[in-house]
This record gives sequence, C-alpha cells and structure tokens, in this order.
Amino acid sequence: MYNYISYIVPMLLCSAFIIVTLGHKYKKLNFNVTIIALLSSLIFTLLSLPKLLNEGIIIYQLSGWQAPFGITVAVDGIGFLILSLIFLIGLIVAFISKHEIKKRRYQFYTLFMFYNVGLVGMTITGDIFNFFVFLEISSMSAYILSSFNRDKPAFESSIKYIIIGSFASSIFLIGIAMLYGMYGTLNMADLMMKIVPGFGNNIPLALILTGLFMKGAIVPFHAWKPDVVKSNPASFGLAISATSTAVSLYAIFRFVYTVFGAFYFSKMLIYIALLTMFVGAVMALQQKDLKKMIAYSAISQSGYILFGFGLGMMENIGFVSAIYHLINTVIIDAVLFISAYIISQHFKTSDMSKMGYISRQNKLFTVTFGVALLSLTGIPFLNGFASKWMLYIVSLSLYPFAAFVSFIVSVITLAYSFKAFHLIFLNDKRDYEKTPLFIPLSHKVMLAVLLVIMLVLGFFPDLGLQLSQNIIDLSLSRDLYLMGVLS
Amino acid sequence: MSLNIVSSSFFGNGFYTASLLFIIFSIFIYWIIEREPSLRDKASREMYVCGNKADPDQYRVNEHSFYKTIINYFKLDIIKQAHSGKLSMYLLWVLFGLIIIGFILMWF
Amino acid sequence: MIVISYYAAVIFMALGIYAVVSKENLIKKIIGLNIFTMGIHLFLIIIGFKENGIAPIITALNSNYFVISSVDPLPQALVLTSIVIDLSVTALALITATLVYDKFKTIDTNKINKLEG
Repeated sequence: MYNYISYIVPMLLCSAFIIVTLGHKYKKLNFNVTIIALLSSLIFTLLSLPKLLNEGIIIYQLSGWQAPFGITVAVDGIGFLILSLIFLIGLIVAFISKHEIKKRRYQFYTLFMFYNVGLVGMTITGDIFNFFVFLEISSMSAYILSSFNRDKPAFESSIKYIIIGSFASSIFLIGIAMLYGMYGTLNMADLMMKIVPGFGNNIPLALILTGLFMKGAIVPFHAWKPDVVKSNPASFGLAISATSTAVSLYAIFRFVYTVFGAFYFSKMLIYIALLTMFVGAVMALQQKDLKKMIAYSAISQSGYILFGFGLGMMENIGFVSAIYHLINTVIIDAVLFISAYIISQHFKTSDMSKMGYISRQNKLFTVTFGVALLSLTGIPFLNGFASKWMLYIVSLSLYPFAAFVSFIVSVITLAYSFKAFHLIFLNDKRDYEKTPLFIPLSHKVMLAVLLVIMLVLGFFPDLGLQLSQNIIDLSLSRDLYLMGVLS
Repeated sequence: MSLNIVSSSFFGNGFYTASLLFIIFSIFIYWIIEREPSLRDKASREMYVCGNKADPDQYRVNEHSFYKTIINYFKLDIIKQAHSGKLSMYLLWVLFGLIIIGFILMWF
Repeated sequence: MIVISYYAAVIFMALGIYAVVSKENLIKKIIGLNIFTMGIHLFLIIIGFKENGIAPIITALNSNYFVISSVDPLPQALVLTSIVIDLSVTALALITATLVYDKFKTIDTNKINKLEG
C-alpha cells in the first residue's frame, strides 16, 4: 500500500513557500493555498487509515535508510487522531482568520503553515533529535506569530514567550544529549530496546518532560500562554490552545509510555495534572478578559487530559478517557474561540466588563456558547460528561483524593462559565442594541456543525467511547512499535 | 478490578431513552430560539427601594466581585498575585518545576 | 581532559541559567540564554569525543582500526543543527527586544509587566 503520510510535511512546506513568495501580490492566493494544503493533508491522512487498520501502525523509513540510522516516520492510533485534529483545527483557524486578519495576511498564513509543519513533524517522527528540530520550528513560528499585532501587549507576550520557550527547549536538548550519551542512539524504538530500567533514566526524562510541559502549557510552565492568547488574534489563540497542547500531550505519552515504559511515573503525572487543573480553573475564575479566561480554562482542561494519562499508566481505561476528553476539549475550544472572535469583534474589545445583553440578538449563538460552557463543566447529556465521569470512576478506585480535587475543579469550572455567560449575554447594564450581531456565513456553519457534534456526542457517548477505545487499542502495543520500526 | 464501562452502553441499555431525551432537548432549544420574550428597556430596569427611586449601579452586584467571598475565604487571590508578569519569576517557575519533577521521580 | 571539559560544560550551563533567571536586563537574559546553549553544545561535543581520536573519515589506510579510534560524528551534526536553531532564536529575541524597547522605552524585565494576572 502506498505511503501518504510522508508527503504531508513537504507539501505544507511548499505551500508556505508559495504563500511567502506570491502572497503579497495575489491577495486571494493566501487563503486558497492554505485551505488546499490543509484539506489535501487531511485527505492524505484519511487515505492512510486502511494501512493503519491492517498493520496496526504506519511505518515509513525516510529515503530508505534502515531504522537505527535513518529517520523513521511512525504513526499509531493516537498519532492518527492528532494529525486529523491538527488539520481540522487548522481549517477552522484559516476560516476564522479570513475575516479576522485584515493586514499582512501572507505573513500570518506563512507562519501558520510553518507552525503546522512543526506540529505534524512532532507527531509523526520516530527520532528524538528530529522531534527537537520540529519542536523548534513550531515554537519559532509561534514566537513570531505572537507579536503579530505589533502593539505593546503583543511584543511583551512575544518576548516572554521567546525567553521561556527557548530556555525550556534548551533544557529539552540537554535531556536528548544525556540519552545519547547513555545509550548511543536517537531512534525511539532503538532507545526503547536499549534502555536499562534504573535510577539514571530519571534525570533525562525530567529534562525532556520540562520541554514538553512548556510546549503544552502545563503548570508551572504555563505563564506565557494566557498573555499570548490575550494579545493576539483569536484564530492564533485557537491554534496555540488546541493543537499545540494535544501534540505535546501525545509526545508525553510517547516518551513516558512507549519509550521509557515508566509506569511508576503515574503518581508524578497525576500531581502535575492536579496542580494544572486547579491553578487553571482558579485563575480563570478571576479573569476580566474573555480570551484570557478561555486560555486558562484550556490549561485547566489539559490538566484533565494529563490526569487521564497518569491514570492510564496504572489502568488502561484511563488512556481511553483521556483521549475522549481530548476530543471533547478540542471541540469545545474551537466553539469558544470562534465565539470569542465574534463577541470581541462586536464589542471592539475582549474585556468582559464592557460587554453585556446580546442574548436576544442571536439566540442560536447564545445557545451554542452556553452548551459549550456547560459541556466544559461536564453536565450530563453534554459531551464533556462521559469522559469526566470515567476519569472520576477510574481515579476513585486508585487515588480517591485526586478524584475529589478534580470534582472540586469541575465546580469551579461551572462558576467561571456562569460568570462569563452572565457577563456577556445576560448582563443588562448595557442597553439593548438593535444592531444585529454580525456572524459571517462560514462561522455560522462551523458553529452549527460543532453544536450538533457536541449534542450527539453528549447524548450518545458510546460513539466517542468506541472511537477512543479503538484508537487506544491501536496504540498501546509497545512490541508492535518496536518490531515495526526495527525490522 | 473490572471497569467494564466501554463494553456496555454508557447510559445502560438506554439508546431509545437517550434518543427521546435528545429530541426533547432539541425541541427545547428550538423553543428558546423561537419564543418572543419581553425586552427589558430602561423603564423596566428602574429600581425602587422603600418607594424611592434607587440608583441601579449602587445596588447591583458588581460582576467582578461575583465570587469575591469564596476567593477571599480560601485566599485564592494569592495564585493571581503570583502571576506578577515578571519574566524572572516565570523562569524561576520553570527551574523549580524541573527540580520538583526530578525530586518526585527520585523519591517515588 | 574529558573530565575537565565536562566540568566546563556544566559551569557554562550553570552560568547561563544564573544569567537567564537572575538578571533583569533583557539583553543580559538573551546573552545568558546563549551561554546556556553553548554549554549544551560543548556537552554534546564531549559525548562523542575520544582521547587521541581520528577524524571520522574512512580511508583505505585506517579502515582496520576506524571503529575503535574515530570520534563519533553524530554529535557534531547535532551541534551544527542546534547552532543554526540557536542563532535564529537569538536573532529573533534581539529583534523583539529592540521592538520592546521602542514601545516600552526600557529593557528592565521587571517593568515590562503590563500583562500580569
């Protein structure tokens, strides 16, 4: 069977070069090339599904060099899911930014394509140093994008992101250097075979996790994210919140579960996850800015996903709930950021205290936003419920205290969701305005589709559970990975 | 330990119940969207205290002090004050996070 | 010799971390970042180094004892890649620092804290 996965990275790179050379001359080209590149990447990903189902894992040795010496492309179940999510979210980001970005569009789309190249590379690569290079590609385009508005807050967030980000990825590089010094290989499968379980592995693992936690904005490495989301276009905020976190969580899964097989690591992941969800929720409760609140809530939700990964090290069903929660969170984040664009463009600000009383202007929009906030909390019959419920049940038998904390965090989530909904939609401090809420057609379609998905996944959670169960079945076998890459 | 959530249906064998609830919820959403509620204009928002007209801004709940009591009781604003916007502080967090991860790894 | 180089690499890294974390001047932070990365590069180079090693080029003369006597070429390739990445990050950081100075009229990082909370 033909291997489509390896064409995605060159294709995205080529589209970035086309946009940067021709984009400022032919204005329509920016958007069209982005859409075509992302759509065809999505199609290539979906075309490789039969291969994944047949063989259990997609392996491609780049330029024919065999595994320990060449670079391997390896995509398992979760990798396939993450690739699809990157392209779907990329399409949504492209559609939001079509209306949001008014000037210097070719720069935005070029950097956005480079950002996607980095994320795709991080997902599919089977080589640690190659992973570092792709991490730097995506981080660097994110650094430049985070100063896109060219005003005071944008530059401040950008310089903070640059210094924190490159500091953490330098720490990641020390981890790679130590692993190479200890085992003499950079290939993940080869490393997996050569690793001797022991005390000394912990130091490189901690260094590598620092870099990954920074990329995924896990507390206490999260400080750059709310600033970047606040002072930049909502479309870039969606890209930073949804896909970057998903990719780095997948990388954590890859390193901790597949490469190191560090099952004793579950306790540490759970501590970090509890800290992340608690700090994220408490900070979201105290925000005045809509985008910043959404950013903190995304941090809090990524804590839940990490919690699932930590539980999954002990009981495989934790991975299932984590993946299901990842899917739900990405959907909810997409709805929240599309709404944030519409709202902040209506009020010309993203400060929530200057908003109010638009619930009558577009009721379907109001319902969509409310459903998204409620599913963030995990209300029954909405899509966040099933995954959170499974997390509670699994953790009740393993770590009762963790279950208690995650339940408290859900209550805090309900509190800030209610506050945001009241401030934006119900607060009658402002007079009722006759000017209708402007929602472009593409945004209407996206919101309607996402609303239907949220409701269907909420009322029939078995669909999502079966999907995540199948995905996990395709990616838990360490032997398959080892055999696939090295044979 | 058996955690057989996935093998059976999540809400029990209630596919038809779930479908019914789904339809009811959709009708509820349709009702919310289609109904014509009374708009609150300036006159209906006027407040009266003991027969006298009151200034609404004086009596309404300030949005940002919604959960002030809870936040103050549990001293949750310490976490907000820790996000001081100082770059050196954030870099120290990265360093401390690294050290803490290392320590937890060593001790457990 | 190798042990001394390891110490040097660790000292470089420690100095870099100290400068990045404790200095309040933005430019000094960026210089600290550079020193930190240079320490890592030195560390990577020493990993592949051997006492009295030969250059990793196979010729007809040295093919018998090549494996035991040549230095490891892979870390050098890694360092080359990493230097390029480090250069571009430094350039980007310096450009952003000048732009920050244009807007804020200061490079004291304690005063660039308008986005707190």
